[in-house]
Amino acid sequence: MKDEARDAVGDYRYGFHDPENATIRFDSGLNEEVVRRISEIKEEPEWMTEMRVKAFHHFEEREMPGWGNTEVLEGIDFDSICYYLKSSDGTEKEWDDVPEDIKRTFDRLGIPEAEQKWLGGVTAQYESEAVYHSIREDLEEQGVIFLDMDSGLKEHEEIVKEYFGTVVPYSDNKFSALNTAVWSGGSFLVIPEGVHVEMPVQAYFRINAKNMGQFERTLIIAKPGSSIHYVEGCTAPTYSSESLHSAVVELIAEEGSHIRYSTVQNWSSNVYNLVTKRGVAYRNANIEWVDGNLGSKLTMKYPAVILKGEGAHAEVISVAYAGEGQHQDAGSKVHHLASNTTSRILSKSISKNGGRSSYRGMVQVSPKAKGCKVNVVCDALLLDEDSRSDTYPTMEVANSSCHVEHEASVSKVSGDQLFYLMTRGHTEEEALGMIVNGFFEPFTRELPMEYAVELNRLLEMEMEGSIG
Amino acid sequence: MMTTEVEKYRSIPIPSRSIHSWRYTPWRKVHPTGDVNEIPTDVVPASVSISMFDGTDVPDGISLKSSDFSDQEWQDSGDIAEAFHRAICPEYWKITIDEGLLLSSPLLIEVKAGGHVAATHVSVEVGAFAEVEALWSINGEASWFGFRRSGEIAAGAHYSEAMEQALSSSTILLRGEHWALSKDANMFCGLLSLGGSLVRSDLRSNIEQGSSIKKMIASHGKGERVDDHHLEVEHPVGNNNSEVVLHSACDDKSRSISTGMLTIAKGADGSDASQIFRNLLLSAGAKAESIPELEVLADDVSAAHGAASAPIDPEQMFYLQSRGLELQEAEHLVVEGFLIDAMKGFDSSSIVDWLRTRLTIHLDCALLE
Repeated sequence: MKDEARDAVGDYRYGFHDPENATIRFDSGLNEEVVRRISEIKEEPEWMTEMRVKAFHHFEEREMPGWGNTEVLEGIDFDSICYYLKSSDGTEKEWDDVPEDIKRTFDRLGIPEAEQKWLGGVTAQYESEAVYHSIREDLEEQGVIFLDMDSGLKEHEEIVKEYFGTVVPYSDNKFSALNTAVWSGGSFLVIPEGVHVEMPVQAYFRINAKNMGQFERTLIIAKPGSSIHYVEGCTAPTYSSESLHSAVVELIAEEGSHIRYSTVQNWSSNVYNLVTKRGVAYRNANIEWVDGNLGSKLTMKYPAVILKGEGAHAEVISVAYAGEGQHQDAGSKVHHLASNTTSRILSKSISKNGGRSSYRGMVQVSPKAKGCKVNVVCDALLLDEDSRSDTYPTMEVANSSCHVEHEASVSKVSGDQLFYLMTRGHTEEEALGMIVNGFFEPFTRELPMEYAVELNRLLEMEMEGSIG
Repeated sequence: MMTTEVEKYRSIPIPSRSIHSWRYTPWRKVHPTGDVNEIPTDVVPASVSISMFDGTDVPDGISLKSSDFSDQEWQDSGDIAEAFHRAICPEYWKITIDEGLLLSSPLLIEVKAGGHVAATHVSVEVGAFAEVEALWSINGEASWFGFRRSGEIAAGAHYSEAMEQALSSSTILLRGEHWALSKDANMFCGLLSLGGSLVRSDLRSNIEQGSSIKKMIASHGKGERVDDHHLEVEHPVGNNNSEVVLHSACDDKSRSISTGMLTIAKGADGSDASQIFRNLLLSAGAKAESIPELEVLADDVSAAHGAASAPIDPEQMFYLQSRGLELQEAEHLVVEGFLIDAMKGFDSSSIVDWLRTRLTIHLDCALLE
């Protein structure tokens, strides 16, 4: 890694990169021709090509958000980004068939090992395309469809056509328009009625090339009474130039179903991470977003749930860690459209070395939604005098029978806690690490154990050198 | 009307909804005519008078003077409401309280707004180490009233005020104020926001080291009343304290809007800031919007905010009715308790008594309507 790159992004465990061996690499920049070529390469149906083109024009016309970190957003150079890069000839079902250099990357990230141990299925996406995909046979036999999104469109066009863009339309925001125009890869998951997928399925997204844009599209449909836990991990190499990750995730939880979507995002600090994630929960359905944001230059991500059916529940547990030069602008949105719906949002953030973390949330209760209950808690820790924490919550309550509560606090690590741990023989650094792990514990306990252990290790690495 | 002030107003872009303080009440709605380019020319100055609450003469050391704006330096904040006010307001009043003055009885300040479009600006200067209580009564039948206040509390002064805003139920009120507290100054503000059909208040404060401010607001909405409060407290330096409490009871189709911003600047260690918005929703058509925001750039601070919206607890109603109260009486008692609870941070029982009396009269009148 070059010195200036190291200076820019600091130590980052996943900052290695492999040489680019692209089979297709588009020139940088975006125009209608690029959008049509992506669609052509993928041999997509006409309706998808048209949707992409419409989305592209909307992206061009739509202004940048006038809120959030507008200064950093304005710094994105859309013309310097490569919108499509394919590094393998197809999506393999056998690990041995994956190109050697890509396989080496995922081996280093521990993906095959995890699959053997505790996953029901895996998708590994490298640049724009999924390179490896597998699902356990027993799940396939139960009718679970787990494909990369491109294969999903080819093999189940009618389902994709019915649901694609219904939860996050391209006109939702500038980045959802961009994603719809140039999406590539992502996961397509359908869980049949009454099927409970006991083991989590995982998708792993890796950006390898410089100035790359990754725009995966994920659609998860849980049929009535089914359940699924989907886990997503993201890393990218450390370059001195910037990359863009702009995904769209749509969840549809039909009656009585349960979707848990866990993310541990650990992009290197040269990645703009601008993601739209939203789910619709029907009667008595349950959607949970478990969202960890550790890396990136700027993250703007607000996992949302629309509670459309009576008795539906939303839960969002998110943590953000903002280190030097990072701004984690994360939060959550819950829209209560039906009666007796409930939601709980727990957000925790830590800012260190001049990092900035912002909670931006929205809770809306519609006039027809009776008896709803909402609880929002935001806690922020500031570890030094150069860091910053913001809280921007919005609560709009239009039904008098609802209970809505929000509380937030910002503080530093308590001297008493540090002192107590140090009297038990820990160094100040160890004590601080333990306090930080404890602070994030409500989040880590919701993750599969392997992820929780990894997250704690990452946090410990981030905390190294915090003292003195 | 001063041409340069009008030009300044017209040079400011109309605030967008992405600015939270303008999210729910757009500028067009609070403009006297709705045509944002129009500058009313027939603005009636509101009357301002002072007296002592106990009927004695106003002592030496307190003065009220009116003047035009020629001796006032205007710091252009870029706020459209402030610029508009400056363009239309015919006069301003200055209340001066001398250094070291200790008042045994509260000062009563009455502001009366009449006519179609009324406006006034009152500036309050409290001298160092003065200890003063003031009761403000804001009333009148104006269709539109632009009311701004600015205040400076000098070092070591202690200023407590209670305000009853009881304008006509059809008045549109555009209110703005800015208070600056010097070192070791204390300020307690209590507001009963009861009148007006549409109220937009932008209340800001800036506090120095060792100073303390408590803002307590109780709002009662009936009919289709909209009460929009934006509250900002800035801690540019540390070792100070701010507390904002807003309780709003919304009946019928009324709407309460509370947006707030607590800012703790870099290096302002030792700041203690809190902000609480509570809404009691009394009927199916009532609405409450809350955006309590924090921006914290210093680490050795205590900053917190909270917001809650809920209906009346049925157990409270059951308990009161089991003691023989009618349903409506019980509800009014709960509402009164909820609203006056916002004022519990006052250190002066006489001020709380005055506020409680004003609130009880208002609720009793509402019961008879």
